[in-house]
Amino acid sequence: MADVRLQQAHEVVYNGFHRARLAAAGDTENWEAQRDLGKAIKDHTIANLDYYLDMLATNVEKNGGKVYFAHDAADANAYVRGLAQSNGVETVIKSKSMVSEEMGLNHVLEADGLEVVETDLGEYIVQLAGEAPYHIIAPAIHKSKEQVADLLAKEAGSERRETTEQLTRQAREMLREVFRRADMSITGANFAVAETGSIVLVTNEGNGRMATSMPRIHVAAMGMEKLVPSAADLSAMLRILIRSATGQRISCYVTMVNGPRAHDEEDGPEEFHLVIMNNGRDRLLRDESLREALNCIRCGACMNSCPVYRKVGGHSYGWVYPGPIGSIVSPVLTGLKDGAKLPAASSLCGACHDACPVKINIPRMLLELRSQTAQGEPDPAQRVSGMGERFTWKAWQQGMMSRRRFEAGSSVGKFMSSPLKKDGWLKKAPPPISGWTDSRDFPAPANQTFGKWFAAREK
Amino acid sequence: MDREDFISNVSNSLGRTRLPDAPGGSPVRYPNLSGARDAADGVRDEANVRSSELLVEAADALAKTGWNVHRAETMEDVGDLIGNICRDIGAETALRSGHDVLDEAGIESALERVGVDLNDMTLRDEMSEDERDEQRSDYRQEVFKTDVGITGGDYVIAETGTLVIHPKKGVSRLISLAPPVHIAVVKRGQVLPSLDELFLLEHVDIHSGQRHAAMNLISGPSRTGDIEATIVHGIHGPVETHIVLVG
Repeated sequence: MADVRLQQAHEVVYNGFHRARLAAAGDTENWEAQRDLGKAIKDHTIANLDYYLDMLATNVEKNGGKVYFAHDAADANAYVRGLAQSNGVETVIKSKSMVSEEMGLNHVLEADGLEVVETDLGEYIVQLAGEAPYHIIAPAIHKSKEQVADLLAKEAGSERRETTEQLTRQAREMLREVFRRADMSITGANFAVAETGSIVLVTNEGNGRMATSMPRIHVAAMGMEKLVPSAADLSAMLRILIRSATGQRISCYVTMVNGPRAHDEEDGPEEFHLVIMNNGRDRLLRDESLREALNCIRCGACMNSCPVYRKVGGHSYGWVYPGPIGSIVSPVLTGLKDGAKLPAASSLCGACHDACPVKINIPRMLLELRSQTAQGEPDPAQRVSGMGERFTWKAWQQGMMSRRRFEAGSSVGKFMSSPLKKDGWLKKAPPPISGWTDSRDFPAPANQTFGKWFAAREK
Repeated sequence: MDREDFISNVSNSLGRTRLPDAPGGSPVRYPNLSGARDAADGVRDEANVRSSELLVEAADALAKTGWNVHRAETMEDVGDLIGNICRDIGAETALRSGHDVLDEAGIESALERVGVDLNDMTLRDEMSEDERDEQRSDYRQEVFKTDVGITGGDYVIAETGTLVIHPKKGVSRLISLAPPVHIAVVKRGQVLPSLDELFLLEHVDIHSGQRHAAMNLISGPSRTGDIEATIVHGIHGPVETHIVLVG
């Protein structure tokens, strides 16, 4: 939080995306109706997810593409890796994909000696810096122009460019060289369409278009929830996605891919592969109180509107999906134990619920997850709260439920703390209270309990 | 993982033992195809009946998304307009798509008049598979070297200021992407009010067997804001885009 540059970046996110989203919403006729439509489409799709996934696979294959269903990240990585090996692929270009981040695909392919290059400018900068994306829409928002200039000059072995325009031109030329030699592209999918066997890519830069024009093989990776039933659903979905993400009426490019190129086209991929990944999403599906999280279309609006995210930033969440929705998705997808603290890192102010284009009730689910965390998983390995913690709360519950026990406890507390008391504060205390007093003072119990004071006042 | 196992796990997670034959509850948009077909006919009629009004709306929205908008009264004017644009930007070479509207506009002679070398590298029916591959490889070289890509288009969307192009035989994906300048020509009657009409038509067309391998929605020049949130045009696609609205 002390990094001024990062705080400025957070303000850019807030002022840029958040205000632009509000303006776009105000500028859209029937914005609320569009949100309701989006929610209805996603609710219907997720309630029939098995039916539409089967339909999607059938239609992709009918269009001449191939479908691979991956149980988890390792399964998905193994498929892509096998595809690269059997086709003698040397260079892979990536168009921004959160799912491939979730898979950790770059590392897997790089370990095989492949050249893997991100082509979204922000992702490319972050990759050159050896870092993770900072924000799902603006991955390199935390880097200054000077830092970018150094990274590009070092990679190209060139002189250092100065202006944003020069830097963009330099990156354009560097990445075009990579596009020319790439054998395979890997993209995400903002949506898949079950009835037509299509995927849809939304970009401003045009890297999604390059990825679906240049390399011989196109692989799209998606989470199993990212589909809609028909092409007719796309207008409402694109409208709410793009307006919520960047506040634009539409992004510069929207590409719908219906399979490999036709035999008489001048360009386009010869092969199209769709990897559909579960990776723990069935846990959200199975739990009716959390199923709604699968409606998420990854626009980033909940992050931009979140007061906590705006202060701590994207890297603080520790996994691919940051911010409010990430605090639900991350702990469940990774198993509750790893990310169990995330649902607690929220003030439940509700800004994310208001911002969500498909009206996901994020605060309700954060509370649900807190409760699940506290109650503990039936499986001891997954349990977050330890024996000590559960015993303490049990004792607390017992103490609070009886007047006699409560009063006894108050007196003991007063007696125990009296030697540590200084000017009405406890400056130093033994464990476990030292966890608090190491960094700040703890208010000492009053000399007289409220009960005694109240009784004396009556007389 | 096996497809059946994957999907049966999804069914189980939803609390059922097998894949249903039909979705529970009705799809939200156009639950039956005949209704969608009727609606699509209505859209096509509206595009013609309201063509003047839609053209005006489109011109406004296209300008807002960053297109340079040019209006042409007649087809004869189009060739001269394109010639002037090429001259103004100092273009020496141009590549054209196979869209008929470019022939109607007579761009061959118009570009010759301003001294621009116009290339047509469309695959021809009589080519063998080997010849096609060779042509494709030449095309990839050429499209990155040429100064201007000139195309027609399938639709313009008035709501968003968007040109819609289906890549197909004679219409490459790269011609509207790789050159630094893209010029497109569309006619009155090709403007749709909003994305709703576009995706309704696409929905009906694909169900009627008219499927293209891809569809591109293009809204102005390529842009990025990834360095300090400063907007710069032309990261992967064109720096400059022009559209000529005819009629």
